[in-house]
Amino acid sequence: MTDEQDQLGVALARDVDRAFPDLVRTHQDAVYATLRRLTPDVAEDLTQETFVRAYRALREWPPARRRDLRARPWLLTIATNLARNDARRRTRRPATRPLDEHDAAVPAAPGRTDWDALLGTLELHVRTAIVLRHVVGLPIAEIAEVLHRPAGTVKSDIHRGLARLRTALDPEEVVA
Amino acid sequence: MTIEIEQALATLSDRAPASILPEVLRRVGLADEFVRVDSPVGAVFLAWGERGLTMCHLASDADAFAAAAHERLGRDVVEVESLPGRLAPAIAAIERGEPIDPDLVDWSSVSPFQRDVLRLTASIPAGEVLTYGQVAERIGRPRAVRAVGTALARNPVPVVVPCHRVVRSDGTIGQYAFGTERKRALLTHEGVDLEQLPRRLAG
Repeated sequence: MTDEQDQLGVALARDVDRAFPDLVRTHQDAVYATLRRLTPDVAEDLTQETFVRAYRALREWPPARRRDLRARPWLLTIATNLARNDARRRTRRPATRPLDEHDAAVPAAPGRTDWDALLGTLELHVRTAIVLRHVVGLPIAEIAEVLHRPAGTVKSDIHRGLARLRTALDPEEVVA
Repeated sequence: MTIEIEQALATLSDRAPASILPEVLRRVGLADEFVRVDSPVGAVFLAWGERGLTMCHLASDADAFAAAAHERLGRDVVEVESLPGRLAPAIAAIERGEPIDPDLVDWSSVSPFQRDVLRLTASIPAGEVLTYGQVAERIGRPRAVRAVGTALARNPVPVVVPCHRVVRSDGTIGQYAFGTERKRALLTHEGVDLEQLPRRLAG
């Protein structure tokens, strides 16, 4: 645990309302970067929702539990659960959302990789593991904690997912 | 190729938009909201929280107001489109000098004495004035004339609670949170004849 995490935990144990803005400032980039690659069009909404839920939970917890909080994996667990629920909701009610300005902005410029489309071809838990490892930069152990999966499984998911991305980017790679 | 794809993924780490923090704080009740309202003496910014109106202030722009509010309230403030219906009378008070129900104000930043002074002040109609001494008398603390001045200076919501309608007993208008000139302008706008004020108060 870093000093920064430790200080935040102490501050949260003492006074949630005073420390909470710092919790958001410290972790909002990791939460947003994750959701931006899992649920591109609602990333901002779900980032807000992640922290609103976190706040409500923290208010209920005893101080000792707040002090020992490992904030980043906990917040990313909330965020990835929200992303998974969002994906399920869309599968049940496909194509009900009208095209909006955001969709119009998505098509990638010629010669550039459309990462959202590419990552979208992976199963959600594989995509999540790759995003946490290579976009956000989490260590394997922390990803295992976020996803409640064994570290070995996470590693092989990432390995498999990267291989699929590589094939999609350069089909000749497989042959070569 | 292995390195390349991992390097490419690492560049996809977008930073959170600046709107996340204030929106989250607003949603959990840790930040006040505010709107801009045009008053007879220029644009003012009006903030409120769970317990009512918290601040009314002149500022050059929303950022300047947010800084001032953070200083005074110790909280973040977030600009929104409109204020909730129950607080709408505050707009009429600012725009047209209409009376405001003092229960719409969050008085937690002032003392009980100051609150009594300001609640009484809220009942002075546009076009009328009271002296510091008259306010002191009406709240049953006739000797606390100077403290009345201090209380009015602590008014969290000038214009909304019309502290500009309290003047000196010699008929000069006295000090004001937004400056003497604006006090003069507001009273004139409300139809108070400042030339006649000394004679009126003496009589």
